[in-house]
Amino acid sequence: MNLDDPIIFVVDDDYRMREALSSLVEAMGFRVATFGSASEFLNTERPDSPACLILDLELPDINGLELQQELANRGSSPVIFVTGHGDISSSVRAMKAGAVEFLSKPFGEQELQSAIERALSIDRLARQKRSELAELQSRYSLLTPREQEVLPFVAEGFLNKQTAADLGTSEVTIRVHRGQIMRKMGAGSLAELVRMADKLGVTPR
Amino acid sequence: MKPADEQLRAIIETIPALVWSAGPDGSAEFFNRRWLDYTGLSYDEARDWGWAKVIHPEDLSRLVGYYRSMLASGDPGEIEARLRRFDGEYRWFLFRAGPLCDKAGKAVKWYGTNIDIEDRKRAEESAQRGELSFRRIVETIPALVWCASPDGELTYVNQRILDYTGASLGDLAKAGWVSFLHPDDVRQTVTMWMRAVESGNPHDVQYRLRKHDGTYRWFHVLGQAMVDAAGRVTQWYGLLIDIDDRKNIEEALRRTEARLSRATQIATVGELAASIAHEINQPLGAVVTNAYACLRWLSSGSTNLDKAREAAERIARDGKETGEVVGRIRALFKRTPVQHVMLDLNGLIVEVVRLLGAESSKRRVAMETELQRDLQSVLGDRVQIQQLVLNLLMNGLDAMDSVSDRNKRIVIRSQQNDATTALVEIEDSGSGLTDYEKVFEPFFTTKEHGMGMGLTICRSIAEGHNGKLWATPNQTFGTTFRFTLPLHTNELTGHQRS
Repeated sequence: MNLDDPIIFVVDDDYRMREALSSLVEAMGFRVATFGSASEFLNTERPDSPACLILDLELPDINGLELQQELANRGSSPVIFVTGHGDISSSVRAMKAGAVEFLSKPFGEQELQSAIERALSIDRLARQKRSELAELQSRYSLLTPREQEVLPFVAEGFLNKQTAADLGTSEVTIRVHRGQIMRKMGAGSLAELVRMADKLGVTPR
Repeated sequence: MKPADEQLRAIIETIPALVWSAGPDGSAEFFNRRWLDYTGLSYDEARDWGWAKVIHPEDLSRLVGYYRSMLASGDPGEIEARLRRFDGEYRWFLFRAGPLCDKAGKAVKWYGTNIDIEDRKRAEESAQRGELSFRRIVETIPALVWCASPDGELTYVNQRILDYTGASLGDLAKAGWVSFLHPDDVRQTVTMWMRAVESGNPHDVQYRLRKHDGTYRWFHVLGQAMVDAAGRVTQWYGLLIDIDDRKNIEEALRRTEARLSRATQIATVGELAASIAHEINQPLGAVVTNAYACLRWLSSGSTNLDKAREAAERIARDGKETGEVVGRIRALFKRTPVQHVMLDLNGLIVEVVRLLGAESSKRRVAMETELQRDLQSVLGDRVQIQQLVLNLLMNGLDAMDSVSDRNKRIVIRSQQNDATTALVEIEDSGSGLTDYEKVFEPFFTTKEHGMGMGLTICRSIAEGHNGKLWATPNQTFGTTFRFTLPLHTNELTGHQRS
C-alpha cells in the first residue's frame, strides 16, 4: 500500500458495527481505520491519503452532525452517514451540510460501495483542487508587495494607465510589474492570470 | 293518751309518707299531719270520702273502683294516682293500703300510705318518650340497622332491613341472614363476623346483600360492640350502608383507567418507536454488514477463509442478540392480565433504562443508576411497574429538552425505605415544575403533544400497588419523583382484597 491508496475511517460507538464495517470495507479492498468516538477520531493523526468517513449519526460524545460541521470547517474528508434511526429531519440536515450519502441500518453493500466510491472521487477532486491552490499560493508568495498590489487591477481588466493613476506611479512601471507577475505566476495568457486571481481570491481594495 | 299511743303517733307524724286509716266501709277516719299539710285540707274536709276531691279527676274513678274492689275482697293493694297539693299542683303518688282483720278474718280497719313518686314517674315517662324517639330514629334513618347479642345472634333489625330483604326477623335470625349474602361473599363475611364476635373488635366488611327482587347490592357493614364496665360485650350495634352506586362508579373508573393506561402505554410505545427501531437496527445492521463481508471474503479474487469465518461468527453472535432485543421489547409491552407477583425491581429498572438508552443519547442526557444491592423483591404487576418507571423517565427526558446551560442528567436510585416498602427516586436536572401536586391531575400538561395523563396514570399505578408517588423540587435544578412499593413478604393475606 502506498500513500495514494485510499483509507476509510469508521466512527461508530457500537463495536458490532465497527467490526462488521471494518471487515466489509477491507473485503472491498480498502484500507480501514475504526474509532469508537468523535474525539478519538479528532485526536488521532491521520495519513494524508484520499479518504472518506463513515460516521454514525448517534455518537455518545458529540453528535455526528456536529462532527460533520467540525470536519467541514477543517476541510476534511467527505462524510457518509449511517444511522439506526433514519429520521428524515437529521438526514436532510446532513445532506445539506454536504454529506455524500445517508444510509439507514441495515444497508446494502452496493449502496455502501457506491457511496464510498463517490466520496473518494469527491475527495480526490478536492485534494486536487487543494494542491492546485497550494501551488498557486506558493507562486503568489514569490510576488513582491508592489506586484501583489498590482495583480488585482490586472485581473479586473484595468488599463495600465488607469492602474498607474490609481497607484500614483507611471504607466511604464506598471507594464514592468505586469510582465513580472505573468512570469512568476506562470500564466500563459491574461485570461489564465484572471482565473488564477479568482482562485486565489484577490480583488482590488 | 297512753304513752304507747303517743309514741305511735310520733312515728306516724314523722315518717316521710302520707298516712291514713279508714273504717271497714272505706270512709276515712284519720290523716296524719303530712297528709293534711300536703293537701291543704282540714280533717273535717277530708274525712269520710272528702279526700276524693283532691284526687285527679282523671284518676278518680279508677282509684275508687280499685279501692272498692280491695274493700270487697279484703286484700291489700296498691295503685298509682295523682294527688292535689295545697297549691293546686297534682303529683303522682303510690297509694298503698292493707286491712286490719279481726279473729274471723274480717277487715275491721284499713291503713294506708301515699308515697310521692312524681320524680320517678317523670323519669319513667321521659325514658319511655326517649325510647320511642330512638326507635323512631332507628326506623326512619336511611340506613339499615341491626343489633346482635354478644354471641353474634341477630336480635333486632330495623324496618328498612325487613323492607329491603322482604324477610322477617325470624328469617334473618339464627344465621338466616347468611343466605341473603352473595355466594361469593359468604366465606369472607362469616369469617370476619366470627372474628369480630370473638375479639369484640369493630366489624367492618363489604358484601352484596340480596334484595327482595333477587338483585344484589353492595353494602358497607359496620358493627360496634357495646361493652360493660367489666369489659364484657353486652350488645352489638350495626349499620349497613348502601354503597352499590359508589361501587359501580369505582368499577367503571377502574375499567376506564385500565383502558386509558393501556392507551398511554401504546402511546408510549409509539413515542419510543424510533428508539426501539434503533435498538433492533443496531445489531441487525451489524448482521447484514457481516453477511456482505463474509460473502466478499468467500468470493474469488479476495478469498480469505479466516476472515469469512470471523464474519460468520459475528453474524451468529449479533443475530442472537437481535432476537434477545426483540424478546425484551416484547416482554416490556406484552399485554397480560394484571397480576401481582414477586418482582426484581432493580432488574426491571435496568431493562427500562436499557430500552431508553438510544432515546437518552439522542437527547444527550446522561442516565445513571444507583441501585441498592440485594434489594428485596417487591410485589407488583410487571408491565405496570415498567410503565411507571418508563413514564417517569420519559417525563424526566422531556423536562430537560429546553436545558442548554448545564449537564442533562437523570439519576435513578432504588433503596429499601422501611421494613415493608422499597423506594425509587428519579431525579432530573430539568426546568422543574410550577406545581408539584397539579402535575398528577388528569389532563394537566405543559407539553405541546401530550394528553396530560402520564403522571395521573403513574400515580394510579403506584396507589393500585398500595404505594405512593410524589414529586419534590431539587435544591438546585429539576425535580425528583419518588415512589414506594410494598416489599414482597411471605404473608400474602394483606393483598387479597378483591
